Amino acid sequence: MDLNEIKELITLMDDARLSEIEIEDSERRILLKRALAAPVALSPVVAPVTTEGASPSREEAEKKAADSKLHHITSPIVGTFYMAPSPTTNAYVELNDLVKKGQVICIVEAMKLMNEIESDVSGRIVEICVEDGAAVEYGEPLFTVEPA
Amino acid sequence: MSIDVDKITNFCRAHSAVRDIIHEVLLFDQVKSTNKIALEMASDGMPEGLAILAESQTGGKGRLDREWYSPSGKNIYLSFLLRPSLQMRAYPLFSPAAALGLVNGIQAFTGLDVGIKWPNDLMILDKKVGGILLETGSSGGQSTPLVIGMGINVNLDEGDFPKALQDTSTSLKIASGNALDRTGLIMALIQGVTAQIHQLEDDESVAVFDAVREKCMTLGKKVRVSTTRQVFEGRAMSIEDDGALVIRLGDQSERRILIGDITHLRETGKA
Repeated sequence: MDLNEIKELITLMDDARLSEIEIEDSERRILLKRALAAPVALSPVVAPVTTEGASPSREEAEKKAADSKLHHITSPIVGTFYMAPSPTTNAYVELNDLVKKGQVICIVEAMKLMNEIESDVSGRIVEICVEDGAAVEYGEPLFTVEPA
Repeated sequence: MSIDVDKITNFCRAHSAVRDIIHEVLLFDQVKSTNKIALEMASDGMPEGLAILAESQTGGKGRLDREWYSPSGKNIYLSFLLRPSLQMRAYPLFSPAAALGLVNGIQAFTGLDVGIKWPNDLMILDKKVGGILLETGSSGGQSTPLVIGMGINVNLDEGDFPKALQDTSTSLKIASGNALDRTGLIMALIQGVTAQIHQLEDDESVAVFDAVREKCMTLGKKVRVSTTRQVFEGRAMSIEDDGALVIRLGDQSERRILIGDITHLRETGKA
């Protein structure tokens, strides 16, 4: 059975709105299962799986809900992350500090461009995601802020 | 002779390629740093297109807040306030582009051959004659400002430098044997740098980096790289199109760097 035949089976399932189809010939057995209105899952019969994943625990769900309220401040350039304007001065911010939108919270340097990064929300710094002096990528989270 | 700011302003406005980038020029007698003034003005909502000049700086600085020697009436301290149309992730490209613009401006005005030590130090032989520090700052309600700060040692004699700098620094006067008209030189520098900014904004960064590679005296040299976290040595192999310097280490592996102090190491006995 080749891929085109499997595609035909999927089309058949769509047309007939089937949640499951099983085909068996002398060489192999193919089982396709899906929850209706969800993507089709293809699975070899030796380890059949369904599209139904394990339900997340309540703790995970609560954490996810809490995380969704948190805000990441990300790096606008590839460079090196500094907590302070120079090695001899204090950090712009510390963990648990309250910051205002527009407040400078760190520097990312690349090729002698000292890029002052401002917080784009007001709130509390709940995580500093990168170590001072570490390399950061474009779009990498630098801080996690709990918006006020 | 002091800087003639009216002459410089007229020059900028008379040349369309310059005027597109710089159309206002302000001269201060003494400031903490021209970058600081430009950033404060940006934060207050000043639009792009401004050049700030000063006869002296009390807090001129380089990377990581290192002091930039800024005596009165002899050098050039110049900052551009831009609000580039490019995305911020492209702002670092302005660093080597500005260095190339200054090299071209100095060559046009003096005939001196100036090299670039990665990423943007200006060198005559093995001594530093100029430096560049770029900063972004508060937007002032507009697009993010980019400030390009440029310091050039112009009419200093050897005895003018502090002792700690005498072995590592030079001036255009020392190199050429002549005192230079700073007003004319500033116009040449502005023309050189704005030409490279045009190239970047016209999506011609490949051409900029081809020229930077030709002027970069770091390439091919054995170097020591110092960052706040580590020091390592290797050979500078190439500059990539995002400006990163590629260093080949002793085990033949290669590392890309975007920051760090580069020291060119002497190689004795090498054929």
